[in-house]
Amino acid sequence: MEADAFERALRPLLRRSGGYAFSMLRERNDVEDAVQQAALQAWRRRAQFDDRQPFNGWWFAILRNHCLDELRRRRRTPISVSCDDVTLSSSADETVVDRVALEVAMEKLPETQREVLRLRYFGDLTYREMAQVLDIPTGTVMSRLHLARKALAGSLTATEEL
Amino acid sequence: MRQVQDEELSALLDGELEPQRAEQVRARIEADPALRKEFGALVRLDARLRGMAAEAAFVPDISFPGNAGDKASALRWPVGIAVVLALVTIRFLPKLIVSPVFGLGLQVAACAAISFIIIKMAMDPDLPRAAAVSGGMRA
Repeated sequence: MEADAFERALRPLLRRSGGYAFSMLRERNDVEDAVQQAALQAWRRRAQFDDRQPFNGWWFAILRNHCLDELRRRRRTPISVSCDDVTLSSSADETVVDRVALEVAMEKLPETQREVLRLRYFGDLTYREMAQVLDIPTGTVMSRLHLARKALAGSLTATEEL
Repeated sequence: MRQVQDEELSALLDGELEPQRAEQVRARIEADPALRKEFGALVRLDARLRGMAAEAAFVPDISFPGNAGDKASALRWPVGIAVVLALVTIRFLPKLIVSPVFGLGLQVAACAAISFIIIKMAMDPDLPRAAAVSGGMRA
């Protein structure tokens, strides 16, 4: 893969790569570093890229590994917002309240379910691409994603009823 | 037994069902109030998650390795030639010139040129990354 082709493939993915890495690392500087490192590694390994597979899945697998390395280095959990960290006034913006509730509910999910949600929404990946990133069958992606959504919906409903 | 599997509701939402199966599932949702309620909850959750992802998305400021590598390669030869010429000037040219003041002036100019090139290279943000690509990965 030539430099131009590599850049053409990667550039459209940068925005969601930033969002995906941010959903794991929660620090913009760390996100930029992880994406830069992943880009360097992808560039170095470009000869190993199988063009019968989606580039998105290949790229996000590399990026995910860099984010996991960073988390291991920091020994922090991917989503670090908790109810204790957030103090909301009665006039707090409804959108912010909604987002925080969603993040808290996501934090309660098992990591395998959070992972598919992050790849689906922040990475905007298809089931096939998610299966490639996680190295699992597409059917498993489908069932994990549905379980995650059901659990999340249940958790949010329970919170909102309080 | 229900004619629609739970996971198929998510797959329909994500546009991952075959067109024919998607049509069957949609028809089943229309006919079944419980299924409609369940699917409605998934649609609302989907919208909230998309909103959260859209808020988090941003374009990281990175340099593309290939371009940085090309830039480094493109710079290598001209910089090398300029440095060699400046060193030759410093070493030999003053001996060929009768006026010592003029020779000293040339030496100073050559030193200034080398310093300028080195400072310019040091201030180029892409070059360290280019070195990482050509010489091995960081960490």
